[in-house]
Amino acid sequence: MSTASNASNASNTPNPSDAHAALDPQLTALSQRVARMTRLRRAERMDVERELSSHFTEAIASGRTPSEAIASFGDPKAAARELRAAAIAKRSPLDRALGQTLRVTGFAIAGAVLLYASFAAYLRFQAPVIKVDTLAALRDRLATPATPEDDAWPLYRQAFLALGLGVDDAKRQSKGAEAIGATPMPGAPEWTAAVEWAELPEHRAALDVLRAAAARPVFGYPVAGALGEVDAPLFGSDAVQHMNELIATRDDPTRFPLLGILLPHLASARHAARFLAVDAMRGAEVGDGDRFVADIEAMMRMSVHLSDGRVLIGDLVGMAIRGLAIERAMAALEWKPDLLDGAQLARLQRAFECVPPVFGYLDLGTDRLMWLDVEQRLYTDDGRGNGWFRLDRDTLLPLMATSHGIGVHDRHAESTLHAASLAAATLSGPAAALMVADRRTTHGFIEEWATRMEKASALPLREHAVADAMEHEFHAAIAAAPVNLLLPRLLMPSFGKAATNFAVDRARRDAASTVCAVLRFRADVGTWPRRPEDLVPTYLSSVPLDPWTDAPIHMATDTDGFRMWSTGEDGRDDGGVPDARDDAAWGGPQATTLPLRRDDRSPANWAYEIPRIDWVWYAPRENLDRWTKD
Amino acid sequence: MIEREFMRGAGPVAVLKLLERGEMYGYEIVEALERRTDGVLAMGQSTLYPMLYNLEAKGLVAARWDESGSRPRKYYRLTESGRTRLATDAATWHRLTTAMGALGLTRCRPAGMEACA
Repeated sequence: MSTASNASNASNTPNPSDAHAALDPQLTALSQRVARMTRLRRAERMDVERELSSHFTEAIASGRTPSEAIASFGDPKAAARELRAAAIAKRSPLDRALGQTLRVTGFAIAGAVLLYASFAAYLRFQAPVIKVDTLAALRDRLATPATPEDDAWPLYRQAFLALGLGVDDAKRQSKGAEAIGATPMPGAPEWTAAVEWAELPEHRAALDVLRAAAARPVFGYPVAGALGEVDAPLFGSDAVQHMNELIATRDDPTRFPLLGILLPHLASARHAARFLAVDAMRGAEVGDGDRFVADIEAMMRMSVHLSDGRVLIGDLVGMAIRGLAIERAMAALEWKPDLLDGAQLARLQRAFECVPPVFGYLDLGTDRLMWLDVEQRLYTDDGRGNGWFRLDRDTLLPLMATSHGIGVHDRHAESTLHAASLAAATLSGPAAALMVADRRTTHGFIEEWATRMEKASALPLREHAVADAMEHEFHAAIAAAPVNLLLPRLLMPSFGKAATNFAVDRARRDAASTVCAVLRFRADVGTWPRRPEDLVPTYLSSVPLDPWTDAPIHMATDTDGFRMWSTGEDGRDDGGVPDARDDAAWGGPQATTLPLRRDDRSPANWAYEIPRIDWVWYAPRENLDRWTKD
Repeated sequence: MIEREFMRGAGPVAVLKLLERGEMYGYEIVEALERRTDGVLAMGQSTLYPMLYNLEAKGLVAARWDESGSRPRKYYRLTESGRTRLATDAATWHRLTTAMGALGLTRCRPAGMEACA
């Protein structure tokens, strides 16, 4: 009934102005004021105003003065309050329930907004605390040259510049440089151009300097240290300035000095290693054993230099260069088994054994420093190892910018970074703080996986499936909580495959060293060894083992000549017959070369071809066929 | 005028009683209450209109705007529920005043003794 009457009222009360058209202004104002103070809905307010105006009109008409009418009205505030209560009581039960719900919701929203704003203010004033000078900690991890003659970096820089590797050097665009970049084998289309380029007098001189640099005991590249004017021609003035500025402003929480330190020397070293690889094969081609050994030796030593300070990306580039050195050496020695004399073979074997044992395993100490550096800049610090994720444009955007430039220009990690950054950028501070894992959880996650991956890197090659499974588990964990685990997702894209890479690297070095031992045996004795045990103790300290089975490596000499092989991942001995890998019609036992790098575009994505079939360590055939097959 | 608390109890039933004879608009009710009760139940708009709204909310009265005259007026009339309520309240008031009379508070006396003056 009241609803019907409301509707009737509403349709009959389009405008209260008709009721007080000729009313005294004071009375009109009072009616309006009381109606306004009721804070009712518009139609209800208009009805109240109209009725009061009508009342005053009647009062005036009956002879009262405006003052008398006002005096008899009573307290406007109390009237408004009671009118409001009564008008609300007139509404339908459903209407009232809805209003109540809206009011409660409104209070709840207002409360939430207030809480959110308070939290935002709290976060805003919780400035990150830079407790650890991670740059200094990283520098402490670097080897220091005792004398200037121990310091390899000045010679490397000189050699890199002379090889035309400076950022603005026009030589980088030349055909010769392109041919070197393809790292061709003898006989390949780019071979002649690459050799001509490597043998230019200034490049021959530069390679001498490069070999001398590699022979020095300490790398000396100032990772996380200031670069000088002398470095500018190699890396560019902008890059040098950028890096020095990052170091200078490392107390600024919005900078990411450790993540931002580019390691441009890694790219230079990769390019230089390709010169050495071409020069080594040229040495083999012309029968110059000393030149060949010196080049392979320089590559091996350079790879060790790149592990100085144990930055993962440096290890990965170092291992890639070692892989190239070993692959070229094995190819040349199959092609020309008589290339080297006993002394040269011994020197080459020492080169393959020059990698310090600890460099054969993953060490994420420096990467932990990088993660800690980001953590202390992105989290508040409660002094007890915990804190809120603190996201704002001053921190997230520089983080995105710098993490895109991790190490050598790694574009492969970008898609991951992009997706994560989009998700993160849509969150504002408090929401992000609630959605991203807290400092202790994030730190714990990173630490747990770093430790597990380090342990996994010590597994032998035959257990690489364990490391692979762990990598999948790691990525699944991150994929399951992409926002919660934002930091691990941003910071740890490249370490998944590292564990297996270390196992492959160790196996390859063992194989290369064993091949040298076999050739030394032959140089001394005049025949091929019949069994692995023949090599011990003169040429090797222990019997070489098949990394897949842990049994002595397989050897055979028949009408095809000598060969030495591992069973490969399947653990089945197929006789180690080379050169049949792609011959499906033949269908006999198959074999492969040493595991090859499958993708060298991005160190973060390097994977190795794990041979399921026999992995032939050595099978001299006086051709390069099995090394040039794709 | 009587106290506000008394008006809360007496006002509504007085208004219902006035409307028993036919519909009235607000000012008319104010005037009638004042005139017919010698000013005892006179009430300002600030009391009357919330009371009318409450009666309307309870379904005891219904309202309509009349635009036909020279001045628009909002008329209130008694509903069936209003009529029932009035009968109940009137009986209650009768019992109350009689009881008060028995105590010597009013000039009413219990039945058989003396009628209200």
